[in-house]
This record gives sequence, C-alpha cells and structure tokens, in this order.
Amino acid sequence: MTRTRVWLPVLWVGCAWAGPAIPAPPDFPASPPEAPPLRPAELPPVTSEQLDNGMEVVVISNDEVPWVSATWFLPAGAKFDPPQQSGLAMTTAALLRQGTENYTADALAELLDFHAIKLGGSAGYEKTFVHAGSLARNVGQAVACLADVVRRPVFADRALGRHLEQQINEMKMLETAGCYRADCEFRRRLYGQHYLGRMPEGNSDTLPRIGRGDVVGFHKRHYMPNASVLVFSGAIDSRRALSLAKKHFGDWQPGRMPACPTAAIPPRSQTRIYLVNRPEATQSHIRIGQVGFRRSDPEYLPAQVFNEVLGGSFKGRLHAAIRMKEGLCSDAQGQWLTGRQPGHLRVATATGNETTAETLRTMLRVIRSMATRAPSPEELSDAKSFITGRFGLSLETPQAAAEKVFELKFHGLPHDYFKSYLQQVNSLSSSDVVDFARGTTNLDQLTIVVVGTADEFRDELARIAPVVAVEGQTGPCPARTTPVAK
Amino acid sequence: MLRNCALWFWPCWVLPGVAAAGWDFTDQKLDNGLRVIVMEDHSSPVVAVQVCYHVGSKDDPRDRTGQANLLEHLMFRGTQNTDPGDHFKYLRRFGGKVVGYTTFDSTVFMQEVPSNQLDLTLWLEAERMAHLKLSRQQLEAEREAIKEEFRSSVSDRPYGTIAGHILRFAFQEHPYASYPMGDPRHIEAVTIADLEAFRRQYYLPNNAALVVVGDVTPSEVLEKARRYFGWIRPGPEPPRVTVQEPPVTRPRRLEVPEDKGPLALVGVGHRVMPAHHPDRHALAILNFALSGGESGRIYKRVVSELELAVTAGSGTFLLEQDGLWAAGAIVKMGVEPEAVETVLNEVIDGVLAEGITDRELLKARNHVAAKDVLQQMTVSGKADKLGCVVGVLDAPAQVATEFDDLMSVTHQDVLRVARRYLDPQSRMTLVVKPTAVARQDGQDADGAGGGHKTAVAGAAR
Repeated sequence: MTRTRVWLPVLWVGCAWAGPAIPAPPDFPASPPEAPPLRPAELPPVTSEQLDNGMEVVVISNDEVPWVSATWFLPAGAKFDPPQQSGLAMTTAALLRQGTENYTADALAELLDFHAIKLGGSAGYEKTFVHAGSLARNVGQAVACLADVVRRPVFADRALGRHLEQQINEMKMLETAGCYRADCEFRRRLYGQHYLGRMPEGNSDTLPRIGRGDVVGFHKRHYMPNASVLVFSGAIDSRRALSLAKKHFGDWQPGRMPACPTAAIPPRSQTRIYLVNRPEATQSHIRIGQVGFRRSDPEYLPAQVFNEVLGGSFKGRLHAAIRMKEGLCSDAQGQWLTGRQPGHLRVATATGNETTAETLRTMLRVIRSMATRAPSPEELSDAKSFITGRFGLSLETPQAAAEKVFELKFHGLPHDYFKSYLQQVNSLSSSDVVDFARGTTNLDQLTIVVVGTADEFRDELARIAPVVAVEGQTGPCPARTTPVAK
Repeated sequence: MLRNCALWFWPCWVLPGVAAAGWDFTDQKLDNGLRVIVMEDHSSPVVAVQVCYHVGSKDDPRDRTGQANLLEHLMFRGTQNTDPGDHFKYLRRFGGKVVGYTTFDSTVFMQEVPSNQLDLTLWLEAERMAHLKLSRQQLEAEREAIKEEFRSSVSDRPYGTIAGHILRFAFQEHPYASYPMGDPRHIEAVTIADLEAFRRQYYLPNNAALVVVGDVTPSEVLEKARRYFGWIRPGPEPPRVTVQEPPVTRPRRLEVPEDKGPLALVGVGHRVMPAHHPDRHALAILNFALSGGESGRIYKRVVSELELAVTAGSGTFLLEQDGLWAAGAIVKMGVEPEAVETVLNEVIDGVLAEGITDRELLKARNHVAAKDVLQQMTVSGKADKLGCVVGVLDAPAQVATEFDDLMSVTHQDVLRVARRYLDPQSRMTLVVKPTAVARQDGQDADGAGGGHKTAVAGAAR
C-alpha cells in the first residue's frame, strides 16, 4: 500500500465524524437564542395560627388539582436515639400506621387503601414527619387517620417484630454495598460520637436491641403538640384546615421536650485516608470532606454558589474534570450540606479499582482549586442563574411549597426569608465565594474514606496521604460502637 | 374500641364528585412528520419539554445490544453548534432539570425549565436531531462511563443481575430479552460507523414526538416548533421489530444463584398483553386488588398473615409489543422460597376461581381517581404520560379515555382477563437463591433469625 492509501483510512477512522451535514436555513440560530424575562415565582400566601395547646397550623391554599396534603412536623428525630439503639426514632415513625387504639394495622390499611389516602411517616436526625395525602373530598378522613396514628399508635409486638426483622434484613443487604459502607464510615470519621456520626436508620447491631418498651417510651417522651407544626397544602382553605386541626388535635395535651444530650463534634485533624477493604468489589467508593457550618449561619448563602461551581449536580468543576476530561467515572458530586447542627462538605464518587488513586488525586485538585481560583465570571453567572431558575421549579407543587415554609420555621429563619433570598444570592461576588472557600475548606484537614479492594491501591494512596486501615469490612455499619482513635 | 367490623358497614361507594381531571392537549404534525403535542398549565412559570424518539433497546442490532443507550448518552456530547456538555450547561444555567433515558421502546429526552427558556430548549433539541457530531474521543469516554454504570448498577450491586435473568427467562426470541444497557462486550465493539448508521435510521423528525407542557400556548409552541424543527428532512420509515415471542404453553421454572444479596427472592409471572391492548384496563384493576397497598391480597397473605416474606407485591410491565405481569416477594431469612412460591400461586389461583370482590373493585376505582389527579400535579408528570402514550404508541385517544375505561371495568372483565393471561399452564417461576457466601455475609455473629429473636425478647420488656 502506498503511504496515501495507508494514511487516508487512518484519517477517516480517527477523526471526528460529523456525518453529512443537513444545511440549516439562514434563520436557524448558530448559537443559543436569547430569552425573554422570566415571570418570577413566589411562595404562595401562607396563613398560620396556633392552637391552645401550642401546635401551629399553617395553610397554603392551591386549588389547581383536587388534592390536599397534610404534614405533621416534629423537631425530634434520631438525635434522641441512644447510641446502642440507633434507628429508634425511625422505627417509631415507621410503626405509627401499624395499628392504633382505634384500628388494627390491617383495618387501618384497608381504610387508607379504600379511600386512596397516602399516609406514612419517617424521621431524620432532627425531625420526624407524618404525611397524609388525599383527594380533596376525603381530607376529613385523611386528617382523622393522621391524628390517630400520631397520637394513638399501639406499637403491637408482632408489628414491631416484623418491622425490625425486615429492617435488619435490609440493613444486612445494605451493609454489603460499597457505597453505603463509604457513607457510613465517612460520617463516623467526621462526627465521632456525635449523633451525626451514626446512621439514623441504625444498623444490624443496634436494631435488634430495640424493644416495644423503647418505642413506646420514645413516642411518649417526644411526640407532643407544642413545638410541632401541621402544614396543609393544596385544595383546602384556612377555615376548613383549622377546623380539622382543632377537631383532631385540639384536645392533645402539651408536653415538655427533653433536652438532647449531644457529644462534641471532634475537631478537625490532619488529613488521613481511611481505607475499608472489600476484596470482592469491582469498583471503589470515595468520600472526601470536613465539618462546617449550620443552615442558619451566614455561610449558607455563599455556599450555594460554591456548591454549583464545585459540582452539586451534573456540571461544575468536579464533574468536568472527572467525567468529561478523563473518563474516570460516570458521576461525581460535591457540595456543602447543612442542618441545625454543623453540616459538612461531601465530595463523592465511584470508580474502577485501577483508577482509584488517580480519581482521588483529581478530586483533591478540584477541591483545592475552589480556594485558589476564584469563580470565573461565567461560573459565577451560571451558578446564580441556576439558583434563581431552580427556585421557581422548586415551588411547582403544593407539597414542595409546604416544605419550604417548614424549612423557615425549623431553622428559625424569618418568614420573609425567601423574598430577599434570590437578591442576596445574586449580589454575591466572585471574591465572596473564594473567601468562603478559604475560610471553610482546609485541605490539610480533610477526612477521606475509600472503600474497595485495598491491596490494589493501598500503596498508591499512601503517596497521597497517611492511610489508616479500617477493620470490620462486613457486618454492622459502623462497626460495633467503640471510640474512634484520632 | 376497634372499628374493624364497622368498616364493613361503611358506605361502599366510589368517592363522589371525582371525575377525570381533563387531559386537554393539542396534537399536530409538521410537514416533516414531527408530532407536536402541547398541553397548557399556567400555574407556575415552568415548562416541560420532551422529545421522544420511537427507538429503544429492542431495535438494537443483536450483536450491538446497548447501542440505543450509548447513542442517547452521546446525544449530550456535542453538535455542530455546541460543545460536549453544552446541552446540560446551557439548561442548568437556568436551573433546568435535564434527563435522558432509553427504554425498550423509546429514547426520551426530558427537560424541565423556566418557561422563558422554551426557545433555548427547542433549539438544543433541534441541534442534536439535525447536527449531532459523533467523535471517537467522546465515544471512548461514554463507553467507559457506561461500563462504570454497569459495574455500579449490575455487577457490584446486590441482585443487580436479576433483571437480566428475568428478561432472558421471559423472552427467548424477542429482543426484549436484552436489557437497555446492553452487553458490555457489545458496547466495547460499537464503532462510530455503527452509531451513525443507527442514528440515520431512527433519529428522524418523522420518528419523534415533541411534547411541551406548561406555561405556554399551543400556537406559540407550534410556531416555534416549525422554526426550529420544520426544516429538518424526514427519512424513510425506520425498520421495526417483527419478531413475535411465542406463547408460553408449559410452566417454566428457573433458579438463579445470587452471590451478593443474603435473601431469597421468588417471582411468579406471566406474559400478558402489550401496552395498547384493551385488556390492560382490567389487568390494572386486577393488579390493584392483588397488590394495592398493604391491604392487597398478596401482601396481606404473604407478609401480614403468614409472615413468610419481608415484602411482597405484584406489578405490570407493558411494552409496545408485549407485556409482563408478575407477583414477587423477598423471602425472610430462614423461610424456604418454595413456601412463598406456593402461597403466591394460591393467591393467584384464588382470583382465577372467583375473581375479585365488590370492595376490591371499588377500592381500585378510588385508586385510579387518585392516581389520575396525582399524575397531573407536575408538568413533567403530564409530559411523561403524553410522550409515551401519544408519541410511541400513537394512541392519543387513550389518554383522553383512559380514566373512563378504567372506571368501567367490571367483575366479568377482571375474571376473563385473569383466566386468559394468568393460566397456570403459562406460568413462569423464578427463584433467586443466595449462595453460601452471600448468606454468610448477611448473617452476623447473631446467626440466622437472631435479629428476630432478640426483637421478640425485647418486646416483652
């Protein structure tokens, strides 16, 4: 073959293949079209009233579809779990609809299913919520059921036993998953003996220690009308909502919420890589982060812009570096998370075993860039317009609006917070964001967790930071509660 | 005081005053065959824009399974006028949500954006329909990304391989046997030439539907659709799968080992009707009677009464050319899967013998009413339904009449459909049994069932 004959096929195969182009008409834009001004989205009007027993009733009316959501929020959750019984708050919430003083579990299920009422509860670290949704014509029945499960659950032995067995089996499955082990170990290392260091769902070691007396006691000590909020949203007016609240919750006696014993969050320490060995894994899971600030702290606002620039979702520096340029993994996330207690930076990804060290180095480079390279005008503008646009999308449903309203109350934020929220975000400068990064992110004090086939990359990881081998790669997650040496 | 008995005297009527929420939409075609479907919703300044191509994994060449999925990934990787990643970048800049997915029958691109970004979204969709740029570099990057996805969702995940087993078990000739993600070996072998040929066959305006739901008007959308898409040339009618899966004439049974999950799974299923078939309504009502909430027959019998399983239920999986219905359970530790299998069969056979009760029928109708309302809660929910039914099945009337059709299902319909499709002679049973290694991983030092014993002991406190 002559040189030309060799070269042409190579060129043909190796170059970008655009395919035969379809000629577009002259008025087809060659660049993104400009947009007209956006119709602003606002939180719908909210009415609020307090019952004599201290329960607050909030109503957000919206008759777009004939559906009503009623959600009862309580500021008590897994933070009250005894460490050796973590999972207690979630277990209590999950069992509420497994029978009340008025209905057996089967009878209640039949009633709810017949009237197409969606009813369920759950708990996180800081709060418990119980939600009832129904067609508007059936809201009376829905609220009656909601009140019954919140106020008068019976926690039958059989239901508890069945639930715990199911949860324990699920936990045993989950505890074999690399991503879950990574999240678990990550929290343990960040928060130590503080309740945020435990998983709110408990584990296969703590769940078997929960008995009926514990669940009954948790309910009695923490479920009360005062300090709780009942939020109605959807096709209901405030008069009807208040009437239902009074009828079904009005005679509930207030109580006194106990203080929550809380261990101190460990101070930051030298960057270490905690390596959990899973010999059978085909990929490794990486977590990087450190403890930070609260939702109610001023850092929250620049953190929202930081999150977008870093890569809270698909785009951002993190994702661009890992997926688009180097093809190391399919997804990567990075953002500051916040709550009533100090939140944390969480950067997470999964990659093949053979690319673990390279991926970790890449992620650390990107995190470092947040403190050394201020957001470009484009990055800043993109982040702000994302936050602005997403705010409107986040208010589409009545339930979403209800959650926003509760967020304000839960974190002690002013009722008009969201009126100026976007204006404040849009007034942030590039230097505000890099100052935030420098003030909150210390690259010499990161907590790094890697879960995977340790033998394949232990030595390479040791060149990045000191490696600590973590025992107990199977079984409960985290391992049976022992103090974590620092 | 328990009100169990009083329930049975509760007035048994369908919730009064609940009629179908209106599915008012326009449905037109451009000269090049692009179908344009528009539904107004001015409650929020939001719009959902979906482009649904009538091509899915069933259209993959047999030695290139996963090709449609791979091409869907690459349709975010650059066009004549956009760089790789620009699609996401431009829309996320305004807070938009962007999703692409490949099913057995369709490839769907869904965007939910502020309503003032309609032009941008339409331009981006037209760009990748007409000006997609496939490159070796992007192909290699997406190949790796899909292999990572395969690892995380299939090979490294407990029970990750089960879906593949189910499909190959149920479909032995039809291409529905292949999972949309495809075989990693085929993904490795795909070339640019393969993808370009596939794209030319299927990703055409006359093989697509544009669905827009939200703070827009039909005239506005139609005018913009003509501007952005009207000039794109149609192509020949794409080839369609004509393979017909033979009926199941004898019971089938398969046991599959599981080396990561510690619990056994049992599934009992049947091949049923495709998604456009009129019998689907009665099957939906039947399925609700069997699996609607914790009062459904399957959960009640297998979980609540006999305590054989962690959870149990049933579901339908209706596709363009075929369908599946199955009941299944996650077996409790220490329980033999065959015991669960026996009970599932008993529940199904009970329906074959006697049909469903009046109360079950009413319950199902109430559920239909609630589901119809919930589906109209968001613009993306509405767009999803319209895109699938109108765009792929080419059945616009189905959206408008679905509610009434479901509400008019009778006992006789349910019994007829049950006896036609759930015949024991056509039953397929799949049992997933954890290997000794998986069982050992799932049992900590407390041993099998130790959790339960501890809980019961604790309950006595």
